[in-house]
Amino acid sequence: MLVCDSISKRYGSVVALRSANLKVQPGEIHAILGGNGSGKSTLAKIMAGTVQPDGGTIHWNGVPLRIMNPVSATKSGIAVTFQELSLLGNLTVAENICFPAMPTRLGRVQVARMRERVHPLLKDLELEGMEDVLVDHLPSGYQYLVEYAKALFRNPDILVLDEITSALHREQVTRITQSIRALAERGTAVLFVSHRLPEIFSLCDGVTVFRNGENVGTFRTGEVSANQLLALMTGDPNAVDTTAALDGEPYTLAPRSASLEVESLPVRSHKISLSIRSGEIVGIAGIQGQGQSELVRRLFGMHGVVTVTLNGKIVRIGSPRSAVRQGFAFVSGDREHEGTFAQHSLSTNASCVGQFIFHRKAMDIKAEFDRMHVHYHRLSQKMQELSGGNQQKVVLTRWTSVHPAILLADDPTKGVDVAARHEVHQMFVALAESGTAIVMVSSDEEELVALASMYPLMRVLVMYDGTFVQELKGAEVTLQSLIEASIPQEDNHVISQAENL
Amino acid sequence: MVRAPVPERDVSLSSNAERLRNVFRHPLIPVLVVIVILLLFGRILSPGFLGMANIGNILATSTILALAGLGQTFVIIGGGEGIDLSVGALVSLGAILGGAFSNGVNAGLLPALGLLILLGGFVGFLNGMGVQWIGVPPLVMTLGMASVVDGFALAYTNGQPTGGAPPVLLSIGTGHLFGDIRWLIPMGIVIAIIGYLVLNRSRFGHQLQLVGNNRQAARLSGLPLRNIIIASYIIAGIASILAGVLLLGYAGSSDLQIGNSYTLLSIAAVVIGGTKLTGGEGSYIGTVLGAMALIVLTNVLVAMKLPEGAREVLEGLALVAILVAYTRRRGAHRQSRRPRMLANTLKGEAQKWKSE
Repeated sequence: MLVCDSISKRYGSVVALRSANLKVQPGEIHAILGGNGSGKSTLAKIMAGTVQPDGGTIHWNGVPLRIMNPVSATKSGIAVTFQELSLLGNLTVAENICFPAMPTRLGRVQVARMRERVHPLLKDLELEGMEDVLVDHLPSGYQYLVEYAKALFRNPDILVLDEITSALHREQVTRITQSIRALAERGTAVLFVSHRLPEIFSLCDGVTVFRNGENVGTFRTGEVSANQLLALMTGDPNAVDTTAALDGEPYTLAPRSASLEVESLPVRSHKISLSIRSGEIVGIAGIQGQGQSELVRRLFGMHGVVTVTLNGKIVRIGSPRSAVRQGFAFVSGDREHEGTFAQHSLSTNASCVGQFIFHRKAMDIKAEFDRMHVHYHRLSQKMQELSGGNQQKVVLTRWTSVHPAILLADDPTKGVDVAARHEVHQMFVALAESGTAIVMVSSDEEELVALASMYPLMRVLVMYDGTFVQELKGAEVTLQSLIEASIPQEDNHVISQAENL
Repeated sequence: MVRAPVPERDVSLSSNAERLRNVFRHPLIPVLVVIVILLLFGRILSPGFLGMANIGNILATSTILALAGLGQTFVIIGGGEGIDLSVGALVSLGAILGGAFSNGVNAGLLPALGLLILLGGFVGFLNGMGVQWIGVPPLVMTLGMASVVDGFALAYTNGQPTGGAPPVLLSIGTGHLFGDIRWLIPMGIVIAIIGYLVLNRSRFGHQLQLVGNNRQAARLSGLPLRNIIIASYIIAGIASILAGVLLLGYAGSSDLQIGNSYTLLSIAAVVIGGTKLTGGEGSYIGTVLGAMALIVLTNVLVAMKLPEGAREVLEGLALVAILVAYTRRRGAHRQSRRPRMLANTLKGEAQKWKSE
């Protein structure tokens, strides 16, 4: 049995883990559930040996484990997959899986033997034939499967999966859950760190909820409800699972001042046309890597010059700067690299666009933060001190304060906890009601369904291989219809391609 | 692809103890401590060390290094591995051409200054264009530019710099305003204030810090990334060449290598001043204090009355020790590999410099 006893970890004055306890039986699939900043990722990093705990012990079958670094973690029989991936992009899939123990003879890597060794693993995950593909060339969903295969290759006694499914599409999730179940049957203890309640209920035997770095409850999955877990996670007894119960709020139509027309925008090998009206939210759905990101990024001038019609005027966008000046805004799910100025104050983070692009002098950031439900202490505090969801709200404030005509969002709630996600959705709705046209890419179908039921003026375009294969409006937006449209039948796909020729 | 772990929780401590601790965590504390220790050490070695004359001398010499470090600070804060290795070559060029253009007469000084500012700005512009348009790594671009500038100085002078400092420049460089207060001291104060205002109070400075903290986020927020970076190199070019002019005033005449040590010294001043080599965070006041610390260090070594060779070896070692201490301290809680990598490069440079 895996026993973690009163594990604590501080980063400076920030307490990440207070006194975390956890028990997992061999052969058990145990979920770790918690909002951003609950300490669940820190626990995963401690298990992996990349972070040293300040206190506490870890035992496996009564034997204390001393995890000093990733090597000793592996030796102790622990394998961990990371949300940020631990793969080397310029190595092949096979090399990554074997790394660092690649079979060699006289110092030369034996490629054939390596392929042979990883083959059964890849076969299980339906990744056959990908042995020699560079990881950088794989779509991100596949990279997560490789990350998983890499962990499996070490034959772990304890397997820690940190948000392994968050970037996978449904079919891949099925594949990986089958594999996890088979592994558990062979006696491996699996720690499944996740945000997604439905997966936890369908896959896991037990679940432990973390909040503020502490274990606030451990249950058998059969003996607890989604709302109970959510209440524990948020510390709010009235929290409800927004993915299940949704309120259709009435809306009023704002004057339609802005509209965007895009014609033959090159995405992948196809050309896309798109028309968005003011006050509309357009969701872009589809399985990972079908050109969704490229579409919004191209519109924002990140991949060269594009010409669009904005409010009837033809506008040339050559760079993100020119896009911003034309009234475009862009929010990325990759906050760390594309959103936040971690070392700078909240007020700088929120006001930089208004101040430096639109020359606004005074802005009432406090009021904006209150409106956005940003949880903070001082405006002068550094951005890096906030949790992911709050950071994203601050980044959104940067744009809402300048009232953009068009908001482009690329998976804006990636890695944001359920409660903050709901607040981000509310911000989107408020922004749309005030006249902004929103294009939002999402890899999470449930999110699009939730948003569609909050805002009737929403439609979803499903993308496949660089083209829109289906448009869904209002009540048509359901989990079922989205998934069906995302994975087109073979002939469907041929037709959509033929139309584009 | 592995990212460093980031603390996940919001901070909620604001007790008095915490506030006091934050005072001691202020980025300028280490450099102040270094200066005080070195001053006390100097006092032990030589009773006159803390006298007004010597302190005045230290402050005056710091001015030249602080000016050379001005541009270096901006370039490094701009991030993206930004560093200017052409500082030393430009300081030398400023000293050489300052004498040549002015012909050693007062009337020639202003036109010479004008020309030098244009030239320094142009060299900085080329650096910026190379880095930001063509995408040459700053280390390579500016090092290459340094040898171009060196070569240009050699070609222009045929190896024999002509024309010393004009009398006005000489009296600025060596003369006294009143008492022990040398002309260079108020000048240094003005430079420090200007540098501070540009970096911390101007639009440009704020944008530069954002760009240095997160390039991609700055670009996606619509900031004029390219212009900001190019501007930082232009400032570096102008500041370096003007530091050369001051150096000419201080030394009276120039030789081809007169300013070459300023590349390493300026980087050391920036690092000791608490500016992060990864960009985004730092202050010009820190660089000014860092420059003082380095000058005090030199003075301490002089006070030890060692032979020239031994003194330079010690100076090099002390510099390496300080840089190692700094990068260690940062490495401990930042887990970023780049500063250490650069520190190694710097250590290499320091060895080279020491052996010259």
